[in-house]
Amino acid sequence: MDLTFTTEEKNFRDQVATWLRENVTKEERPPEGIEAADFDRAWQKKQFDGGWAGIAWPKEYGGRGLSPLQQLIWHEEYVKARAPYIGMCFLAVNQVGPKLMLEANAEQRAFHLPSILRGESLWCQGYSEPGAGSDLAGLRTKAVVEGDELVINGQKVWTSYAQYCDYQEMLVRTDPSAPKHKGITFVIVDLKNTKGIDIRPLELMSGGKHFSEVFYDDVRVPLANVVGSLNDGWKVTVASLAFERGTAFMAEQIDMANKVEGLIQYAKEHPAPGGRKNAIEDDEFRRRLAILRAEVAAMRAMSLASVSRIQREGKPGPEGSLTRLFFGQLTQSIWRTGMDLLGPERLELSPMAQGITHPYLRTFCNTISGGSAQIQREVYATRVLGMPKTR
Amino acid sequence: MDLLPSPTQIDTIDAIASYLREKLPVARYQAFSYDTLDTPGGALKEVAALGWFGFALDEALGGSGGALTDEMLMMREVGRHVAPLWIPGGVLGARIAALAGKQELAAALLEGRASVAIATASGERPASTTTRSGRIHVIGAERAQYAVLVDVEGALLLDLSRLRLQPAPCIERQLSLHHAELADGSVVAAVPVAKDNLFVRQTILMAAMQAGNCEATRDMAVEYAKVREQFGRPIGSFQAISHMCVDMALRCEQAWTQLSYACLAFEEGAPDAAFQVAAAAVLANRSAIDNARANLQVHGGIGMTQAHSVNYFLKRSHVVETLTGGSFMHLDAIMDTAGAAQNAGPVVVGA
Repeated sequence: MDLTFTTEEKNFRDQVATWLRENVTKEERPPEGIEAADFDRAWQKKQFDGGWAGIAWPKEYGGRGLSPLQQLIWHEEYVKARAPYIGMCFLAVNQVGPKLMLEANAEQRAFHLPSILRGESLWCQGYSEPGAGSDLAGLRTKAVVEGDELVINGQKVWTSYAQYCDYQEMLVRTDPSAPKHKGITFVIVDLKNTKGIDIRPLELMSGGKHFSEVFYDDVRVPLANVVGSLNDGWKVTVASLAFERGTAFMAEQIDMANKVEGLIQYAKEHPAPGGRKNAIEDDEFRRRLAILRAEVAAMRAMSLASVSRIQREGKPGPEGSLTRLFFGQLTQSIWRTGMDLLGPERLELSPMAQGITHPYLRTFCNTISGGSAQIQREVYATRVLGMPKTR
Repeated sequence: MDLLPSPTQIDTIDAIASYLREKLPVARYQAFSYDTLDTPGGALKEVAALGWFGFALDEALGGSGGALTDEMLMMREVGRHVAPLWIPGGVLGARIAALAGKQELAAALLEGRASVAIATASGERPASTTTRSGRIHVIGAERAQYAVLVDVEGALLLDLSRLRLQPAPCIERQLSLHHAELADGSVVAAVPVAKDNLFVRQTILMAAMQAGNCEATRDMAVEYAKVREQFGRPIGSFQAISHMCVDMALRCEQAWTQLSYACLAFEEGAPDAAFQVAAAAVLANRSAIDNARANLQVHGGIGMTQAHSVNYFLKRSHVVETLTGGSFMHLDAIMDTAGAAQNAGPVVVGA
């Protein structure tokens, strides 16, 4: 057990910090729309050109081939430098990339991975459907093989950034007669060059058109876009889940410390709503903020433990589901505390208002998307604790 | 950077756990009659012979020269078995005696020739190690010769025969509990915080016991949920139960990883160590108590009985929380620690 870094790691940290100091733009990331998409692509490209994209990705795909610990150092310095939120590049860089490395064929990897790192392709997911949320394997969007193509018909929903994306990673039902987990295929859809796709943005309760319904009407996709083999899509998805849950949110986890320190600063400068003293002198607020500080520290310690495990065993342990669960709960209690700290200003809603209300409304997704808190618990209970299955 | 125990440490943990399982199992409480106290007996000398009291004490002072992390790993096992409090008492007592230059006394404690209880400041005039006056509660004084009293300013080793101990019934029936007025004349060894931060050390060891405690109750609840049947199936098949168990597992991860980090930060002299340790204490206390409560709920009626071991873990979690100085104190420390604002976040020790 130790917290010390090697000289190589320390030098790496210095290089990262220097580059970020010189290259992080002072310009605020636009909160949404095509402006946000352009901003995210440009920032990803800048990181790639600087040699900082895909730090732990193999060199053959345009990455640096460095250790998970160096990736973590990058995230830590990234947050310290207040570099912009990864935004619409999140799915491609953190989830699609690692998944393709694990499951895609050589041609698919060579085609997609470098362009993901260069910020040239934005990706969205095509998993959830109106009838398939937590029960994802119950999905019904169907695809039929015709010659060397798949013909897709059906509907996806909650598809983040679909209207701005170049590609979609999609799960479709290719064998309706097989048991539900066995008739699913994982396929890549080129959103910009494929006919029959209708994207209808939905408005979020916090405002903005973050996600969409996507309709597929005889959409033809080359069979060459299937990742893994036909009817093997569930396995392809599940195999990479540990990586998604274990490491994808590391930067955001580290960023939570900044958020909590922001709330503490606010509490030092403003009275508690309805109170006479500054909020920091109010025992309840003071202790709630102290607990948040402690929990954020624990979140970070859990990330470090995950990285330690990846370094030792080559892959993240089953604690990833717990980290994800904790992350969702913690972001919600941070912003809930923020709402409580604000007076009537809390009623102002816009991405540029006090910086509390808008993210507060957004944090609800952290216990819903990517597997709800209940699904995370279910996975951990049955796969790790060995609890008897309910279903 | 590696937050996981080394292979050598894992071997040591296994040896410690196997001794506790065999010689000081949780089940021993069940053999006790109503008024039996869990006094040291023969185990004291055995534990001493295994070197547990001098694990992280310098070799020049009669210890094995191990790291605080080794001692933390040991206390996690102690906590997992609701093992006797004279174990942490002996560890702290021997260290205070040795650092205060009382070699003979240190040797006696390291060899298990006397046992050490743990005192904590209490009441309206809580005792202080600086003024050497005020009220204390002593846990495990029966058949012990000494007690440690540790606060943020220093650490004292007290001769119990020179204190007027007033007995009180203890929440853990097998533990003795007394209150007393701290008397200057009872102090046989003293170590100021500037010489050695025994407060942080005690906090880390107690938090480690809490971490072990909450892991044990997680495992108990999970095992029971798999075998206890209602409505014709194991209760673990009900999400109301299985999801509670997952929350217990999350609390274990929070407590242990934060404590590991804090212990290393303290050992390596990191600027944010005080903050990290306070955070670890808060989370370990909360995890232990919340898990012990959840474990009781999973067990239902049997968990309410004295005979079943569920209650030992619950009661011990409250005892140990008290011995960390209480969570409110550590919450205040989290907000008072200078530099925590920056160090709570991305700054990494050794960077």
